[in-house]
Amino acid sequence: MSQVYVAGFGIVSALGIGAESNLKHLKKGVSGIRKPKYFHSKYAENYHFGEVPFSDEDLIRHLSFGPPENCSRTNILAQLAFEEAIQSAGLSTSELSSFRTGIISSSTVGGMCNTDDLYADANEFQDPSQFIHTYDNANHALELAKKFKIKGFMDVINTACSSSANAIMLGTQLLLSNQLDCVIVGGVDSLAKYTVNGFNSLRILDPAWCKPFDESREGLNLGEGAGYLVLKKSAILEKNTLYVNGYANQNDAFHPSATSEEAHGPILAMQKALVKAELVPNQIDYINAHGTGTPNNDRTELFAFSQVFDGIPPYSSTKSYTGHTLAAAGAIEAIYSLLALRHNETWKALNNPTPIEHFKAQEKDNLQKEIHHVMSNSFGFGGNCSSLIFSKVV
Amino acid sequence: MSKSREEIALELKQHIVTYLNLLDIKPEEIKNDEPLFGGDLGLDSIDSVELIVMLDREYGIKIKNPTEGRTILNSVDSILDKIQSEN
Amino acid sequence: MYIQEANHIGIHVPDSDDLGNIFLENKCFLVQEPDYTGIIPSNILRRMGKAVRLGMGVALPIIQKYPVDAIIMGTANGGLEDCIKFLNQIVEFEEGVLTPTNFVQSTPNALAGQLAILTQNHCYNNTHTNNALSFENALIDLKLQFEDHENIQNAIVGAVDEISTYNFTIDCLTGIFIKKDQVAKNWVLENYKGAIAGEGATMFYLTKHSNNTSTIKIKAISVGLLLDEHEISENVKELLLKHQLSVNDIQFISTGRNGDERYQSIYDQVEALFPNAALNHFKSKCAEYKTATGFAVYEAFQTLQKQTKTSHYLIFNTLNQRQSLILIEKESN
Repeated sequence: MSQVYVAGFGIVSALGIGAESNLKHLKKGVSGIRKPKYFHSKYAENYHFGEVPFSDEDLIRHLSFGPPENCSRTNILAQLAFEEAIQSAGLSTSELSSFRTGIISSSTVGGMCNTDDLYADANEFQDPSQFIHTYDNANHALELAKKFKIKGFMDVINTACSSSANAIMLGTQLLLSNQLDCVIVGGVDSLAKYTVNGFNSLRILDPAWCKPFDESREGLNLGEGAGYLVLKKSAILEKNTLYVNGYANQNDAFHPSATSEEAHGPILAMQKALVKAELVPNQIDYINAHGTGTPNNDRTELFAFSQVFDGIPPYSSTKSYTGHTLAAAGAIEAIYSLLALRHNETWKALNNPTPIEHFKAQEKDNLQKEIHHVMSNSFGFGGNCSSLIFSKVV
Repeated sequence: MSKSREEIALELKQHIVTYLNLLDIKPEEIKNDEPLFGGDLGLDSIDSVELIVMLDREYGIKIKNPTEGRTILNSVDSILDKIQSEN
Repeated sequence: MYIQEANHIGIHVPDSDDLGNIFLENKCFLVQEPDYTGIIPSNILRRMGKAVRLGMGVALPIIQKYPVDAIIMGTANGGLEDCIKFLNQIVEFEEGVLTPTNFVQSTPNALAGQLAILTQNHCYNNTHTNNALSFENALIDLKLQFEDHENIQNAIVGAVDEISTYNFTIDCLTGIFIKKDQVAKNWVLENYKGAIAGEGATMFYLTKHSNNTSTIKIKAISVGLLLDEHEISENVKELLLKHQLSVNDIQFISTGRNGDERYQSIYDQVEALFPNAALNHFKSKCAEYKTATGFAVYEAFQTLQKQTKTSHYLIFNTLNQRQSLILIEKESN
């Protein structure tokens, strides 16, 4: 039976540009969350964010293929991660433009990162701004398709904070169904007044550094970034190859912006992903949790762990390093899961002095043992819950 | 001339209906002592945030603490007490 | 996959050249929304923006009748009106205390999420926002779920987009739409510098297998991106070849002609391939919006229901550097 394996990946987050920079900070236990330097908002003064620590101009200098035609921060971040992904997978130009290669991306904010320009454009207060073409939710993906001549397939998913997890799932299914030979999947979001004010209006932003799974947690920090994975299919996988082993998309069916106490959606997503991977719960070595740091999410996610697993495996939320990168979170955390598998390590759960009691969890961080199977969770508004399982060939 | 409690109550109910876009409820149908949450009105947590915004924009009352919010937003009466104590 | 039922809320199609006051005032075709009383619970209706309302309006009559194993939506914009309302609040109240409802309603997955909540459905749930291929991607998604999950046997799949002042403004600025004071009834054949905007919501109940009540199936969906004109005609021929059909096996061809001069030659080419098929311009009845192919499939379903012999209905659409072909087959009774 064929498996879908990860041929390469690329990432940009508050921990820097590239997988190497991200891994270095994770190993050191250094968070990327701080008061932002480049993001303009009333909240930039006092709130903490997982900002990518470069200006747009500096980010453009890191691009190998020149700036995107429509140059929003979202589009720049997407291209940065995309370039690293295709380079690390060694994709040739002919492979990219083959009718058997596709892209599935996702973004919640897209061009709305330029909130003030959108305001002026939508209300016709000015001549069209330079960002007029970027507001479409699919623009970032179209820019990538145009630049890298991807003609085989393109899709854009928006299931809020689980978007790129669903892109990974759908890409895997396209390969398994033999519609494509190669698919680049992931997502991007940049900091925007739009989302900052949105989450703030729901009173779920913690102005200070977020505290996932801590008794004193008060909310999330928004972050920005992009992550892309290059997926391919093969019947024979070499030792240590990383592959997509399980996936599930279920709905909590409870509330537009909160998870149910009973955690129906999270439980179903994890259980079905395990079934798909043909694993029993205790085979999971580490869970990269959704762990936003809101009182609601972390309590219900932990409850869900207690229902799915006999003994909860080591888990942590890397959102204490990156903030919540929304549509990009699924892909960024999938990449952290892959790094955990590749390097047989997990990283210190930051800012977690008083872990939520009540649920018995094992040692949670700085895991140093052979890691075979990692679960990555992504839950979003609209009750969208997705769970992915990545594994390593032994 | 200051408004009577009943006048303020009616105005407040009109704001509640407008801000929450309650479709088949008339302002005068909301009873002063009726619990706003968990009762017949079917309001939830998003509505409580909407009401906090309403109190800020219409009455200049700022509620920072959610626990305090829950007490104040209990009923029309409890909101009226808060409005009158602020003036 | 088989179409069991379809539901649509769309624009009012004028019978004469007189387009009526609503068009004159708005310069686009707007839906006349039904009275949702009895369809959508009022306590939920109060929060909804137009796109979610429209979507619920077409989905609930279906979703309450059948078991649903997957909910998959296609929407280019989702609730854009709510989105810009929230944006206006951000600017006008200088990032002060803002009401969250518009924000929550503006996420494009709000409709799929709300459908899950109302029907307490924990099943597969996805939303595609790929501009003019959002609906096609939703259909492809379902096809994959049918293949991959034995327990997914049926689904509700939708195509929903609203026109609001704001996205109309933006899409006029980007050149997709054009504002006209007056257009002829057959405006889709004109050579304007943009399309006439519309909106609509279509919902389908689809099953993996024929259950004898319907023998109308979506046989193939082919999507194209950034294609040259000659590649588009090749794609049409390839699709027919793949399904062992000749051009004469296609009884009905429905194309997305939208009055925009930039697309006329592509439509000319594709239509010319089928000289013997009955030709339909579906946008003359729904105007242009990015998930208008949902309406095209709805029309195909209506037409094919009246056929007794095996018939094939092909839909071709192009917009914003994307192309799609949807082949629908009626098996003989």
